Amino acid sequence: MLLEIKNLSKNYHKNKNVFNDLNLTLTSGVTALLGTNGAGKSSLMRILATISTPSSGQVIWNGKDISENPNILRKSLGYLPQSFGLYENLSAYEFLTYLASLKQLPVKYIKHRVFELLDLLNLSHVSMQPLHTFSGGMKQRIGIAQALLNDPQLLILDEPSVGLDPQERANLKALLSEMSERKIIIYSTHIVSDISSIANNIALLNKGKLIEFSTPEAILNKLSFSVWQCTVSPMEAKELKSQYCITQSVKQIDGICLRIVSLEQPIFHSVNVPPTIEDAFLYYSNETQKPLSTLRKIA
Amino acid sequence: MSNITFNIFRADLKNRIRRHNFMLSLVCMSILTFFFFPPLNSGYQTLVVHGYRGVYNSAWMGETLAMLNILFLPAICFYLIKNAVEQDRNNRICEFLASTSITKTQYIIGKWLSNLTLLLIIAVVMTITTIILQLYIGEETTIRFSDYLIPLIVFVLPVLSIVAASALLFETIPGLKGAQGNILYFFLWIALILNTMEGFSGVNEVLTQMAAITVNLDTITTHNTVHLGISKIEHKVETFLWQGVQYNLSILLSILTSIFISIIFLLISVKFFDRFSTGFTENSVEKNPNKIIYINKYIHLNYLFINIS
Repeated sequence: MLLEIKNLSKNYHKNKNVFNDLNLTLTSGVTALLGTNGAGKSSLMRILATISTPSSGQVIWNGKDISENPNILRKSLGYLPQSFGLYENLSAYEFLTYLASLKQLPVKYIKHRVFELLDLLNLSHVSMQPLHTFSGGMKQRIGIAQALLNDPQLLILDEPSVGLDPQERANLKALLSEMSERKIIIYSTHIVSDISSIANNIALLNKGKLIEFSTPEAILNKLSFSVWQCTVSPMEAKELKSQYCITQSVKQIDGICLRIVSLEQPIFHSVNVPPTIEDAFLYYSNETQKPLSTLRKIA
Repeated sequence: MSNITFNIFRADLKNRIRRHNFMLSLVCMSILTFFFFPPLNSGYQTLVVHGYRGVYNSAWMGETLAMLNILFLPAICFYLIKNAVEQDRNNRICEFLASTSITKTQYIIGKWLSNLTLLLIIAVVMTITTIILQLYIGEETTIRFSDYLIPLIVFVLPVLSIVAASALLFETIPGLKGAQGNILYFFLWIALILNTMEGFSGVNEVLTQMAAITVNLDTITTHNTVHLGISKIEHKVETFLWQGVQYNLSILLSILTSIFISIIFLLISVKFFDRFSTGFTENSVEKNPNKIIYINKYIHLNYLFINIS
């Protein structure tokens, strides 16, 4: 399994690039697509899901350009869009059976597969209830189930944890971890905690540009000895915020506890702390900062 | 029919018939049917041939219902079904559909079958109501189901097929999707469909056969017109016994014409349907209701709320 994205660009208007000259090569495992709102994540996913076409560039699936024959990819594709609807008057079983048939699953296998997924996503007890009676989290799980119907080689999940309770989030993470060895999973989110423990690779997108694509360890390594923590007064906090990239600000009894990304010690009593993916995400999303790799070289 | 087409049809149909507003539509259409068969002294009639209307037996009521359905259902039901594609687009089920390998033809035919079945359910409910009415009115209480079923299949179903395809046509051609399309269809129904419907739906042939019988009746009538639609009656209407239509080549041709038109509409819909993708492909009763339309030298049709004199 190999998904290659080559020189991919998308612009909806002449002067408005959603992303530009994107290059990525993905193999099996979970690739987290991190970026702020409007970074181009959903546009990229819609192209990969063959719903939208790129303005230029190629998406190559196992050596074949999908623009020439998108069905090559569609048969191996599971896609959960960021927002989607359901046939509210169908039951969960009927709806999944319908989509299974569209995905051309063998008729004999459909019933077994649908019940298997309903069970996997803790929906078997409501399998015959109409979807309009479902909560938001249950509908989201139906969306996840439909993406898994054909046991896809390429699984694209756009904000899959939206609406899920903590227990369901944990279940989803476990499920994806278990599947990740035999699938390419692209997991788009701006909730860093969702992917920090399961991602094999992280692609950081900011304003349509790929600013980092590496393993979580490599990204964290670039920030090592660059994250500081200190507790300061509100006045000092205000001043520090104007000078540094602040990745966390927590109000405490004795002041405000800040996490700061900086190569140099920002304030004398600040202590160096291990970086997190969230630190990296926020640092890279902050357009006023230079790329950290550059700073590391300087250091 | 492919398995995919059948499943698109089945899922769409289930989702739509389970809505409360569809049930309400059935009730409304059933109530409307009561007004299609007024008693002799009601002051209006829906089908009068040379001053006569048929005894309310299965043949007359089945045929009358079929012709009134041909006139009214295209207008009423078009708006009821014109959301098959739009609902998938608006509620974003289209995101799931576009990422599968279904073809435009499979999708459009599945939706057309769903539209057609919805309309057929309405027509069947109206037919059942008419059968109950026949028993209730009691002019002739022998029920001949074939007299209801055959007009439904021969005359109404082909027209419903066109309406089902038209709805998709108006949903897929850019510029016809919204309110402007609804308005355009309404005027098309008045200006084109109503004028030509009797031509390709077989109504003309049925009325000709009815007229041929009534002109040979003993009673001399001065009313040389055929009135189809809801018309006020200011004179006494006689009854005659109608035994049913003689099906002939003319009627067969009208069915084939309707099927041909439906296929053309479906092909155009497939051509224009965007598959919810942005780029990827797969491989007049006129406005004057008093206008008289000359069918032949015996028959004139007046439509809708016309005084018969």
